[in-house]
Formats: sequence, structure tokens, C-alpha cells
Amino acid sequence: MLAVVLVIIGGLTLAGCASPAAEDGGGEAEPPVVLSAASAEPALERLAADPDVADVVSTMAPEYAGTSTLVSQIDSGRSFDVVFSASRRHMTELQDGGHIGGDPLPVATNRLVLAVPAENPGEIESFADFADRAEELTTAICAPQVPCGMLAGALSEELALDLHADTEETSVSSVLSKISLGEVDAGLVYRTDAAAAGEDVRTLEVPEHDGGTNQMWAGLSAAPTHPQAAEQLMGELASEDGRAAFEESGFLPPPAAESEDDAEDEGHDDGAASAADDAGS
Amino acid sequence: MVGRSSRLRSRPAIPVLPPALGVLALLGAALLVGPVVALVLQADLLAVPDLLGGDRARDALVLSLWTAGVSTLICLLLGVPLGLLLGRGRSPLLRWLRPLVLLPLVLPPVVAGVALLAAFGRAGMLGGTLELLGLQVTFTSAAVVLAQSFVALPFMVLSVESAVQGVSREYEEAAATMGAGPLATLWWVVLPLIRPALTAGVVLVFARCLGEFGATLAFAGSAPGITRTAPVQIYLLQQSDPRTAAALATVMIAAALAVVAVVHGPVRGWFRPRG
Repeated sequence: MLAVVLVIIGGLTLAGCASPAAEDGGGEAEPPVVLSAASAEPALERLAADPDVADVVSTMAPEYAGTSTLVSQIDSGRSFDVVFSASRRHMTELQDGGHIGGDPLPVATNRLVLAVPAENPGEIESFADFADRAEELTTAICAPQVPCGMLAGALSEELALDLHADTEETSVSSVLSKISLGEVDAGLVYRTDAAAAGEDVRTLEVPEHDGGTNQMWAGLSAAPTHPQAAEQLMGELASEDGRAAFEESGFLPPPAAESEDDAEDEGHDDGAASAADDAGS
Repeated sequence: MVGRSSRLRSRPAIPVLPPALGVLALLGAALLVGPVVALVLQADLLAVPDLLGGDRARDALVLSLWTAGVSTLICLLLGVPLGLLLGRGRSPLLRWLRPLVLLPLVLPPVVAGVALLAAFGRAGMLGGTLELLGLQVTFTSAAVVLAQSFVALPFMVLSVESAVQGVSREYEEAAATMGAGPLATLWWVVLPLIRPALTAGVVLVFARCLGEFGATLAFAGSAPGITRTAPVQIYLLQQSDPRTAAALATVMIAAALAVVAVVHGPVRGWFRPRG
């Protein structure tokens, strides 16, 4: 009996999910289903607001979450058209799982900064100052399971610095909220998050080190429900408008080649970013 | 009770439920039982002891158990007097206090966490005072206990309040005429009479504390061994190590099942007053 009931519930659920896709067959230009790393939000909002992009891109309503959350949802069968991953590793996991059609596209590079609340309760003047007093300061970082936490781990290792984190949050946005609320003295967030937070936080640069950057990757689904719209979005991302949207949001340009060293070389070259801005406008 | 026995006397064979509703009842049961059964089937039960041997899972379980224990004691200490006050008090002010006290029951846990930050956070109302005393609450195990107590206390208050309303004041008056003071009356007369409600309250509070997630994450943070309770650890592991997450989840389900069985299951008779 239980099995019968479960089958009925399953049937109802499937029917409910299938209907929107079926309507899509009618030729109406529906936006792609976009699942995105939370850190891409400002850039995608900017891209959607650009008057020159295709209608399906300006009407897309991406769902934002931590990349690792998205990966586990997709592994459990969630359908999508385009996914944005905040790290190469998570995109590779998606490719290994057979969820990505074609080659994923590197769209931008992100790196960590040390952010402190605007009122700076810990009186932190520089990263070196933070490093000296890490033990007594209250610090938030991302948990090692999420991409921003992987970067924090690399930073701690490369600089041989114990961060003495008081909390390891489940997403970069909750690290940022702890900073802007003034609950911590400092936190490690992406430079794009610090830029989006505006006057709530002050940004201190982190010294250059190996493994200090994450690439934002866009991947097309192996089984898209809106293939045309998805292709259009991928096209916009590769265009100068797409690059500009990411760079105006504080991202650095994507690596020219696959190698992470290249990304880092571009990482501290602010000239590259502003040159791309000029080209985009 | 009276209604049921009178119906029994003139008994035409009435089915428990109209058949159409029977299907809905089974659907409801399947919705509740299905996902839990699926999780337990998916979890590798034989590997559970090994997977729980790891530091992360064990630290989280130990932290969850002791914080839930302390929170339950706090809820008992504060919830019983508050329940008595609401159940017995005559002041019209109590009519306004009641919904406020029960608010955490219906509040989304994340909102509870934000409210706790507003009160006890460093930038919150009491934060400055606490800091002067050299105390920081957020990111400590004390914050976990505070978050759990905040969301679970209404369960204790509600249990005690409704139970004490069912106790006739005559017992207390009798005790008073025999010379018992208010405290002795409470201890020897009222509390024994509401013992089943106290047991149910304690068990529900403990379960609610074990399961607390949203308020803990927003208010206490997530540091291994200090504030990362089992539910928070499950959420994180689910993204990196689903097998261990499933093992930890199985343990939580077993604990919750034991708790619910005590209050509502076949063994609940053990906690009923005799006679």
C-alpha cells in the first residue's frame, strides 16, 4: 500500500514539474533556468540590466546559492540550463557527473580580501596588522567545504598563518553579514562581495600567494530545457558586454588559458581590468 | 469520554473513516514516513559506527547533546514558573504577554537568530554592556545554549500552562488549610499533579534543542567543537561527504524517534499518573 501511495505522489510531482517545460515547446522566448554561485549575483544583475542584451537574458531570474549546495542539488537530479560555479573544482565535479554539455566557459576571476566593519572595532589597519593579532581578534571565514573556504585554507597554508577563525560559515554571504553587522572584527570574503557591500565594510588587500584566486565558470547543461535561451546567455557571457558586467562588479578577467598561474598574473594587474572596461563601454 | 461511551451503547457499525478520507489519511502518513524511510535506506547502516568515529561527526554530536541538556535545564527552570504564571495569573496584562511568549514557536528560526543578535550580539542592545564585563556571547557555546533555549522555552511554558489549568484549586486550598506554605504546596501538590505534562515538556524541549539549526547558524556561528552542532554539521557534510552526513542524520532520526515514542508512542502510558 505504501508503495502504491508513493508512486501516486511521485506521479503527481513529476506531472507538476513537467508542465512548464512542455509549454516551452510553443516557441515563446522563455528565459533560461540559471543556477548560480552567490558571488556572481552583482555581475548577473548588471548583465540583465544591460539594454543591449537579448530579452531572454534580461528576463532571467537566476537562483543564487553556495556552489557546493548547487552541485549537490544537481547531483540529486535538479534540472537547469546554465550553472555558474565559483571554483574550477566544483565545475569539474559537475562535468564528471555528466551534467555539463560541451566545455565550460571561464567568465571571471575572484580573489579574497580582508573585510572589516566600517566602524572597524578591531582597529585593523592592514593585513599584516591582522596577521599579528589574529588570535585575539574575532574572525569569520567560510567553511572548507565551500569555494571561498578553500581559498581561505590556501591562504592560511601559503602564508603560514593561523587565522584563528571564530566561525566557519556555510556561505560567503553569511560571512559578509557577520562583518557588516559588526559581529566580527574581520572576515575573508571575495573582493566582489566587499565591493557590493559598499560603505558597510572596509577592504584590506591580502598579500599575493599561490592558489589565491578562484575562477568563476559557466557551464551549459547536458540536457537543457531551454537550449536556445541557454546558448544566447553563454554567447552574452563570452561577449564584451558579459566581460564588462563581471569586471564592473569587481571581478578580475578570466584566465586566458587553463593554467591558474596565468590567472594570478592578471590578478594583481589592475590595468587589465580597466582596459577591458574601456573596451566594453 | 462520556460522549464516546454513550455512542458505544447504541452501536451501529460506523467505519473509523469514510473510505475516501482513508486514502487521504494514508497519503498523509506516506508523506511523513516516506522521506525518513528513504533516508535510512540510503544510509549505509553498517558503516554508521565507522563514519561516526571521525572527529567532525563525534564533536558535533557531543556538542549537540550537552548544549541540548543545559538548554533543557534552563527551560525547566524558567518555563515552569512562567507556565504557572500564565496558567494561574488573573492580570489582564497576561493576555498580552501570552502571544509574545509563544512567538518563538511560529517564528522562522533564522529570524530568531537575527533577534538574538539584536539583543546579545556585539553590536546589539546588551552587547556593549556584556563587552564591558569582558563577556562575548556570539561564537561561543553559550550562544548555542541561548539560541536553543529561546526556540524551545515556549514548549515548556505551553505544557505547564495547559496542565495547570486542568488542576482544581481545591487541592491547593486544602494544602493551605493544613498549613503548607506556597512553595511546599507547589512542590508536593501541584507539580506531582502535572507530572505527565512536565515529562512531555522536557522531552519535547530536548528534541527541539537537538534539532535547532537556523537560529544557531545565524546567532552562534559554526566553529567545530564550539558552535557547530549536529544539524549544522549535517548541512555542511551533505555538500562534501554525503555518506557521513547520512550516518549522522540516521543518529538524529533515532534520537528524535526515541523522544517522540516517549511522549506519543506506545510507551507513553509509563508516564501517566496512576489511578
